[in-house]
Amino acid sequence: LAQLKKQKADLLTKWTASAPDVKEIQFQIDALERQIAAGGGAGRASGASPASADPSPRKALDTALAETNAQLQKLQGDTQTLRNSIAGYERRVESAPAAQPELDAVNRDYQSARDVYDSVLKKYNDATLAESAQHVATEQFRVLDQAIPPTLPAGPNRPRLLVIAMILAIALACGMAMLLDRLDTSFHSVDDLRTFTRVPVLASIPSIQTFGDRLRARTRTATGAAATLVFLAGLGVAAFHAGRMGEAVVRTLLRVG
Amino acid sequence: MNTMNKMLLTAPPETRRERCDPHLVSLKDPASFEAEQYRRLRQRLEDLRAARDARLFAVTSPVAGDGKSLTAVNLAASLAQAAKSRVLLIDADLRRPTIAGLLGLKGDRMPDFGSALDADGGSLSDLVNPASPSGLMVLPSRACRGAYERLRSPRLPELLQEARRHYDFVILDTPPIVPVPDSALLGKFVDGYLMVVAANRTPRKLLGEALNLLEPASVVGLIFNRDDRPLFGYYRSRYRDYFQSYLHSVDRATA
Repeated sequence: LAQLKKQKADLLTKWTASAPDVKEIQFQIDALERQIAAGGGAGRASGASPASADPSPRKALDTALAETNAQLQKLQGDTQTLRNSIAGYERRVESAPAAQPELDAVNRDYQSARDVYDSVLKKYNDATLAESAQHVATEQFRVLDQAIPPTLPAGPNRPRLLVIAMILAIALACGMAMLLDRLDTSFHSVDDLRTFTRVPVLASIPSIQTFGDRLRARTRTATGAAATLVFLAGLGVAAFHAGRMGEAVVRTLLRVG
Repeated sequence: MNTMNKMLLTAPPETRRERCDPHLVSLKDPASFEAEQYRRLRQRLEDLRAARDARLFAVTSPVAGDGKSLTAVNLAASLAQAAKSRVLLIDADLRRPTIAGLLGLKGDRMPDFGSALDADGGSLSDLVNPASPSGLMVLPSRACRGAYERLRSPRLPELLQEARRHYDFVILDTPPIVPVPDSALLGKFVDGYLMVVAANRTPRKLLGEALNLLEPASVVGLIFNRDDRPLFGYYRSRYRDYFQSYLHSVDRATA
């Protein structure tokens, strides 16, 4: 019993009170104590020698003790193996960052190989499709009606275009004039003013044109005229070039025909 | 300040003419056709003065740039041409004063209508010398902040009363009436507004708005400015012949 109690104390230093080994030993201790109490009571009651009853519980206790010891040793061994495996895992975890670039390189290689495979597969599919289409084409189309090449050069109806352009230009100009007239709500003559309000018009002052004013107005008119001329010339050159390009296209087509 | 004024306003007409804006026909070229039209306007104002002693006129317009200041100066100069006529031209546009620039007035000691409105501004006779031999007196302005509050000063009626006592005509050049409330403020103290309307420029709507903003009775009349279609219309060339021959005959008569 004393041995068991010592063992329990030992175990308690290692494990908590709730650990299964400790509980088992506690249970054995309780059983032995009960046995001892029963033996004592019987001995005192019967008056027989307690030595004759002694040997069997002691042997049972010894075997239990031996068993417990064996169990303890086995558990300690387990603990050791578990510690070893934990250490092994930790080493592997530590070596993981070193393995990362290697993994990346492998992934890259895999990806590029995958791309190449995909493109080759697509080409293969296209080629199969084209092949089948060719088969269908040769089988399904034939000339029903021969095309007739034109005997005269084709072109737009120039007089009609000119008339349309003229009409559009006149319409646009009229529209602009009407729009500007709508937007301009100023007074243009004294009569305008007289019809608008009953307040008398005391005087009508002509615009006072000094020499500088006239010069400025003339400069502005000249600049505007020059800008318009330049714009028209640019338009003409652009139209000429566009026409030349069209002619070249027609010539090429005729040569091919 | 008196001496400065004398120097500015009693200077020989020739030097002043050189410095002032060429559009001021009533000063530079009083015999021109344009100056005759300002004379027609002057005649209307002289009639009004004879009828109901109207002396103070504010020249305004619906929006900026219609030619208020030019009209005011030309009209004042035209009024001043009458014998013994004493005319005061006040630049009451404290936001964008232009009279000084048009007349070529310069200098730090130039009288300033804006500062005259301050409590210690002094009386009108301190600013403008009433004894000047020239018929036209000018009280220009310098641009200042808080123009409206300055015009609300109690000095404004005092100054204008003084001007009414000393002058035959007082012409005020004022800010445009639609964007700012300054001109309407003068309505209580002047005898009438002259509304300048620029041909091909002032929108109908804004003229209507301007007339609504003023008392109908306070608007003496409209001045149609920069009219490029004069009354003579297509008879212009014939009129010009008449006008020029008239001028030549005058020249011959004076020569």
